Amino acid sequence: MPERFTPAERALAEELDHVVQHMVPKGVISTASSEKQDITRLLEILKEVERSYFTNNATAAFRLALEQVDTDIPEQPALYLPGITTRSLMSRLFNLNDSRTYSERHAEIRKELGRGGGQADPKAVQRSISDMRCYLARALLKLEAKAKEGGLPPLPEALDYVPRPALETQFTEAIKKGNRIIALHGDAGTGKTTLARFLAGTLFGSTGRVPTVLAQTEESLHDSLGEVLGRYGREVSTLGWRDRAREFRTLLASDKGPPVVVLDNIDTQAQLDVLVPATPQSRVVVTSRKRLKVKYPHAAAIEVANMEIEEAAKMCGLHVTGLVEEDQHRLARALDCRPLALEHGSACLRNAPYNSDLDAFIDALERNTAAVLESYGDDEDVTLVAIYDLIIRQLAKKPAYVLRALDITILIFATKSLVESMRLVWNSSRNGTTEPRSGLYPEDEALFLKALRILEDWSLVRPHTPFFAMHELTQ
Amino acid sequence: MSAGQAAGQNLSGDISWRHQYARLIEGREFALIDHVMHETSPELNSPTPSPETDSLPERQLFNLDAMTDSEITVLAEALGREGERSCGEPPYWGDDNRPSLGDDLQFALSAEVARLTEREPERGKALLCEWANCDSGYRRIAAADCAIRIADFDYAFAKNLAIYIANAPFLSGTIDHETARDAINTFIETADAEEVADLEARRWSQLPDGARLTPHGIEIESD
Repeated sequence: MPERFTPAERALAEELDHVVQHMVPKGVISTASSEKQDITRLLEILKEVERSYFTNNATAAFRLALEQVDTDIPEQPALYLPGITTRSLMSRLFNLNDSRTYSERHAEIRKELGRGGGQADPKAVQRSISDMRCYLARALLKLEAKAKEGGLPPLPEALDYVPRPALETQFTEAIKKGNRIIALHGDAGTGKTTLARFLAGTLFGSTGRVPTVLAQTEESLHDSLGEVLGRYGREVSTLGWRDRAREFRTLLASDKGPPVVVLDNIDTQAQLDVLVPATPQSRVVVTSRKRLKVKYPHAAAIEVANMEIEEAAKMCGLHVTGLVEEDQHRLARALDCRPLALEHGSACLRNAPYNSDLDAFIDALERNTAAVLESYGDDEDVTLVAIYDLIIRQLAKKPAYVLRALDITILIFATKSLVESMRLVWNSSRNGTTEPRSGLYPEDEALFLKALRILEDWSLVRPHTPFFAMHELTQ
Repeated sequence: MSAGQAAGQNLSGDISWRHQYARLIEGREFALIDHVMHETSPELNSPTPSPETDSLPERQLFNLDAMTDSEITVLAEALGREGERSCGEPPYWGDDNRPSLGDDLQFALSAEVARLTEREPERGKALLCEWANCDSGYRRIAAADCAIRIADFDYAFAKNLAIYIANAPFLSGTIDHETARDAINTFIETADAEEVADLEARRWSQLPDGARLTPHGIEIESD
């Protein structure tokens, strides 16, 4: 008799079928409203297993979960298919590195094993695939329970982490100097969070997952603070996020706190002050898009920029199978060596209409980078384009001259001349005149410089060396 | 030794009744069918064939014309249960790749229901809609199995049938969705690009609230 599964396992198995159809091999899980009811359970599990990593890369979180449960999937032959193991069925159907769609893989398995290939009873294939999903669901549920108990091993090596030796050395040196707070700052998509988790993981050892506080929103702050405090025996279920933050601050100041925590996506110095005491007993790794003015006695800042070309090429190799070294370098350069762009761009390359045609993909990127990368994903993207789009919408709430200054910086990329750009954009919008003016009004220059400071604060421009450093995806 | 003599030996107990059914389904052993029918049912030895038998387009395992819809439904349910129970059992005809006994009989019944639907579209479609809309996984599986055969003469209905079952509300412990998606896979193999895109898009979709399968398509119940 076939092994029986619980209704919860069967329900999750059914959900897996729907989810994977929509996410594999896409770069992100589809969270469009029409799919939400399908994926609730799986998302809960993924968040529990790898909360902060899930936020940045849901597909990678799913891949990670699959890797972790792999050994829980039976190695013996599938119940009704002699010679095919349940685990091999899983790796074929849920192979996230396979550029074919889930449907195509599903059809291939059916054809190869089923009546189409003259091999086995189609019902046996159907039942074996169904059973395999149930085993996978069972393993994921077990993983979730284990994660809730904080019993999972550290994950850094499983995160598709590409070593960044220069930054790792800076971090090690900062720790050796006795710093307790290390702030990693840099533009969107430069891999701050992944790096922070890896580095914190090396300090945390093998006693469990690195406690991570997500500061993106009040809700994520509230939830993640609750999770971390709960792990350290604090009952905070009735507290709001501000009280939880106070509890957290007290925990970090005590010798009962975690050896290291990650504070992800801190927005302001004030937010950091609320969460971290001046002399924490725990080590604190902070990520932020902004260059925080960390005034604590034992604090260091490390700037995280784009990857080195060799690092970026390696990352391309991890995300697109079958690329020769030269093509990995081409792809890395085309995507500006920026980790989030590399990951998202690789997913775009693997899928229609490019279907792993590197030449066509790079050609399209050269014509319009933003359009190519924007054409993939969904309404709740966490891709670089989506992040920039969000930033622009937030900037739109500020005085109009801020966005106008951004327009000018964008024009500089085309004209390479600040004066020409300002004549085109700034003066033409002033006093209704369209007549270009050779120089700047002093008050315009003052406003422009203020706008640049705001944009710098948002990591959109860096008016230093060279004068403007701005990512091409903002174009 | 003639086929009839061989079959006679089989009936003596050398080969189980399962083997006989398997060969019946294959449709290759009519001599065996005759022998089995006559040996096991002496009343069928009447020299005058019955009008009912003569009126059938071909002799089949299940005479659905002589059964009510309720009887067909009970049979489908029973064969589905047997298929699940016997799946993975040692081969019953010396062939590892044969379906299980229950599945084999289920396929045979599905073929019969498809033929019934071709002969009597109104009755056949009503029966299949009832199976697709019910909360029995076995009946849904039987309906999905019929879809592949029905596509030969009424593709629009077969497509709706498969898509409806593939996306019908989840029932624990059944492979109805998997069977229906298998049917859709079969359609995809011979469809043009536009049709493939439509099938792909609808294979893993969601039925709107209140959706029901009717002989005319997937419709929304007004209440």
